[in-house]
Amino acid sequence: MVSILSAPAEPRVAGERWIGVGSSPERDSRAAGAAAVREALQGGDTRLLIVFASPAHDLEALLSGIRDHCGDAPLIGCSTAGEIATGGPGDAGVVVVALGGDGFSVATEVAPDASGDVRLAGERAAACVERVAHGRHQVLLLLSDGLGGDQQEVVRGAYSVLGASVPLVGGCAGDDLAMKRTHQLHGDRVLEDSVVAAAISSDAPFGIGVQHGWRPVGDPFLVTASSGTRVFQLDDKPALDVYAERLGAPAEILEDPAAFTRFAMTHPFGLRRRSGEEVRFIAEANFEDRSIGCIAGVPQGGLIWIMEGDAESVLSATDAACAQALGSLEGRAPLGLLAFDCIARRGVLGDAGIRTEVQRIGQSAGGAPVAGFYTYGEIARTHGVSGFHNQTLVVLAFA
Amino acid sequence: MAAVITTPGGASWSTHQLSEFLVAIAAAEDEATASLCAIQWAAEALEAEVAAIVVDGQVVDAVGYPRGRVPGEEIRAVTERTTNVLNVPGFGELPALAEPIGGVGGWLVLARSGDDGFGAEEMGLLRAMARTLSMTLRTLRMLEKERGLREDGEQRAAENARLLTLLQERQALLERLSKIQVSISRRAPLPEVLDAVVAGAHELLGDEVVGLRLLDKDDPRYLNLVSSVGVTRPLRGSLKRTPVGEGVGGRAVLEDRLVIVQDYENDGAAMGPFAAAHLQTAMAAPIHEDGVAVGSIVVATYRAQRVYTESEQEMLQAFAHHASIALNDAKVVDQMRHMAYHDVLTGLPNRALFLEHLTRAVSNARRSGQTLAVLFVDLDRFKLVNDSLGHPAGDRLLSAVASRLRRSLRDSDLAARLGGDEFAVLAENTTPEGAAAIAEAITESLRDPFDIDGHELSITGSTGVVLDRAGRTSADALLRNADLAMYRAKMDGPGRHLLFQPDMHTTVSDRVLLETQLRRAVRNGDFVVHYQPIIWLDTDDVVTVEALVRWRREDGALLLPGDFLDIAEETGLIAPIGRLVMRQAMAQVHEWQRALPYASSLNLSINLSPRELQQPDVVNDVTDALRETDFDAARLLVEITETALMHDTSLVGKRLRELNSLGVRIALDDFGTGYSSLTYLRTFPIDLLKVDKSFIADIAGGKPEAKVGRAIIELARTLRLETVAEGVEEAAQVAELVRLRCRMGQGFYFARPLPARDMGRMLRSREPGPDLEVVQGGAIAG
Repeated sequence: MVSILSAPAEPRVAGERWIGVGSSPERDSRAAGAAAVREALQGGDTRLLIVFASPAHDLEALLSGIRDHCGDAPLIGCSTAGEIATGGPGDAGVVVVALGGDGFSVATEVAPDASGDVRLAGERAAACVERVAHGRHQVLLLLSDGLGGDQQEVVRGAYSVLGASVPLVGGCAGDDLAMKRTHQLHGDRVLEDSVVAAAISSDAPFGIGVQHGWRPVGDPFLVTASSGTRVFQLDDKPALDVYAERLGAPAEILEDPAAFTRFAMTHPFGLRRRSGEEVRFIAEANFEDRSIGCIAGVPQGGLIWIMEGDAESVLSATDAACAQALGSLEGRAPLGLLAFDCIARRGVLGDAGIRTEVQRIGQSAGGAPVAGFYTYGEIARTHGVSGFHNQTLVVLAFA
Repeated sequence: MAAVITTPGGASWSTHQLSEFLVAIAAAEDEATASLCAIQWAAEALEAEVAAIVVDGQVVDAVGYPRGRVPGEEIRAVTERTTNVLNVPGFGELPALAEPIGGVGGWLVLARSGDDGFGAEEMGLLRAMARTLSMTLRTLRMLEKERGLREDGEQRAAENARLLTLLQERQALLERLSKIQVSISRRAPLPEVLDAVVAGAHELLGDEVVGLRLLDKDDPRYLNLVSSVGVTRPLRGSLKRTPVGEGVGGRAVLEDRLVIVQDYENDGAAMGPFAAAHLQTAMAAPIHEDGVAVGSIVVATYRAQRVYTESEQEMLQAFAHHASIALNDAKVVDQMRHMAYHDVLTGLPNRALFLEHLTRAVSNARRSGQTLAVLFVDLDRFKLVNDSLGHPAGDRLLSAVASRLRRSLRDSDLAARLGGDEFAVLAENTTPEGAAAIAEAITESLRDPFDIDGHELSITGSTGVVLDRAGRTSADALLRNADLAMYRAKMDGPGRHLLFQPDMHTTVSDRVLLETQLRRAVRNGDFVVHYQPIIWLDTDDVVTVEALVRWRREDGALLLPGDFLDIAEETGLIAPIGRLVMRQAMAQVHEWQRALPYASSLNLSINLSPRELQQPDVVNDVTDALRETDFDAARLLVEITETALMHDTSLVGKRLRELNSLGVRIALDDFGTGYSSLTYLRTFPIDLLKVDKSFIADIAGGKPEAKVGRAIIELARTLRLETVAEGVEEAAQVAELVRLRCRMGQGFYFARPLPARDMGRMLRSREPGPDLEVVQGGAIAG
């Protein structure tokens, strides 16, 4: 699966920054890891490996396959709900991104047992920024467990350590929509309930694009009872019933958890914010107490809308996110793009649509390699203090 | 208006943010948690990079700085007003502001990137957050103190009970406030919201008397009692309207602060009837509209020795604050309603409001059997004024006409501007003679010349009059008949009026005939699209085709847009025609993109008229057409004219941004012929300028006119806008345009507008390979 797009056109100058992406549909986990990393490696001075792998893989075996070829380069990664590579999106596969060259400096960190104190995990993960060379441009890449508590707290924690000085970007690991357990990868370890981070410093700028493509429909509800990410009541009535009734949802979503998750994926909540709507991914419902569980906090006392999106709005958000990311590269051509793309956007686009989407990202990249995964929540903090997003595409461009 | 962002639900975003803040902070059980929670929320709500709390000159907590590097001195300087910027790593200097947290010697400090500053609404939100924080911090401090003093078990139990009571009070307050906010958000009528405020204060403060007073809009020396509890009927009569100088509530308005009167009977502010009833204690908090005290809420009791605690004072202020939110919100809604029903230029009711009144008048006439008249007034040769003196002069003339029109009418008559230079008058309970007299009066009112920008202008109007007795004709038909009568009057010469006769319908004018035919054509879809290519000047490749509508009449003649677009605009038929063209063109171009490798990235340009752009559905129409024809939005350009940008700027801007967000690009057509304002280029999301052919005609020559064309192209380049030269007719122009780095051209030099079949042939002829099979878009090519 060598992509002609990711092959370097000319021999590289020693020490120059480089990014390579490799992927493999191989079923054998060890062989898949080996194939993907071989394709990704473009030079000897690898600074960081980022691995996005399907939960269908034996992740231990996959990591050892990777390690067979890359020595002890720092590594972070996570399980996914679908992988993205230059050649297109895929399932049950693995994508490896390699960053190398003198112009990059990297330090990684892992914060285990994140759900016990999500904010603290964010703080601990951010500690690696201290250890990275203080180059002109920095970014902190975070991969976390979206099923383990309010992930906005990860961002708040990292922000409390770093302040506005370092942009944050990343996503929450996936498990192919089972919504049960996700994995994070750090060094040679396969972890759960963790935040893994890589502080990347570069001679050239980073660009971050964030867009969702959803819009509010109908009248808002008042959140009359909620706690953290759980919404108990809307307009003084059980949240699940109000939600299903407003949308005229099929009866099965009130009985089958998987059916609910599939339905809710394309009918998220939206909160009104100063510069637009903030979307909330609805992950699951509790059929006993009729509550709804989201991936990020839904404050009590506020108004909430049901949001809608379609293939067009979602795709135009793709273009806008890419343009936004590339627009921050100070006129330089991108070396590579990372995409953290919400699983819900995939739900709206369908399989054909996500191929178009990845194609469009590839076009924006203008030949530079593309990698990413379908996420359970996206992180991008460039302005203000908020930086946890749902149903959103976050694009990180490296110059 | 610009500062107010309203949600579909009505209330502004800050209302929701405040209630979220109230709930979040209520959960805090100690000062540190409350402070952290407050800065986090304030920063998130206002999208600020930095938020800090300073108490007694010390930074208690801050977000936005790397850990251990919080610049205490600098933040304190913001609270001392010796600086208004903060140096934030990663951003540099950011504008900062500080809001005092009353009663605890504290400040809430924020700093935000971007150059949009903090607006009035944001300041209001910040103030409300600071007040809530103050209330919370004081409660927590008091609890802390009591906790320190009491050691033994029994006392601790009492203290716990007290803690519980305080928390319950706060919870009850928040629930009340939330309910009030829901009614505001849902746009409940203002009196209902104010009743809820009064009921809330009555319940939570437990006083027998609660009243809410607002300044009389017509005579602000008086306050009107708009909602009350516990004011008995005999009292209510004498207290309904009171001078601002009287009463505790009046004092709160005049002094714009919370007022407490302990010995009511003997206080100077006491109102006679209440003093006589032995009212003991009262407290009032001011209510604001746009930051000015316009009323107050008063709680009062007949019980002796009532003392209002600090938390009760805060509570009353919170209710007053919510009443303020409701007032401001109602005002916004009123303004929006006014804008929806009134013509911005003249201040007269618009067509929608006129028709509403007319419909009501017709049904009244049906009951009473009375006669009503509708007069349709159209200015004669008004277009000349616009063309010779420009639109601003034309606009001033229209508002001058509007005010003379208004003065010439009885108070009971209603004048409206229907659009353009058309006005209408509704006269109820009149006679044929009375209607004629109104028509005379209107003609008379226009007789003296107008002074517009130093020009003496004379203008006349043609008036059509229609009468109805006992509501026999519908409002729509009345207006249509008056229009027809006006049209006939105009045919007789300027400055006349004519009474509608049914036989006018049989001798229908060309215009009416045209309208009828056009309606039929829309029904039958008798429109075809022609395509004119836009060419890359350096490679001679076709980059875009512009879709141009043609009306194929029943007699086979093809009519150009100039022949029917005016009437299509006036009648609103432009919308269905636009939809038809959009779909045909997208389907055709999509077909070319698919079938011809040469055309695989061909763009399509469609025109949207000013009227179409005003239509609420226009973005949906485009979205639907894109979806139905599977057309890539990124390959679509929408051409609009400068005129479209001049009216209802915010609406047009919104539409354009919506189109933009679909991925559609916006081109400004005929650039240079209107105002050519740079502001447009900055305000609206314009991607491409089409430079009018009048500037291209001379561009290759040495005439002074050539300079204008060149300047426009250079200007566009500076603004990073692509340019298309329109009306390119000769090779010399192409050479000059290439030299000026204008990348695209359109005109007879390349091709005239072509039927689909010919356009397809042209594209096919440019295919690199031989004999490519081409799929023809049959329905369109005809």
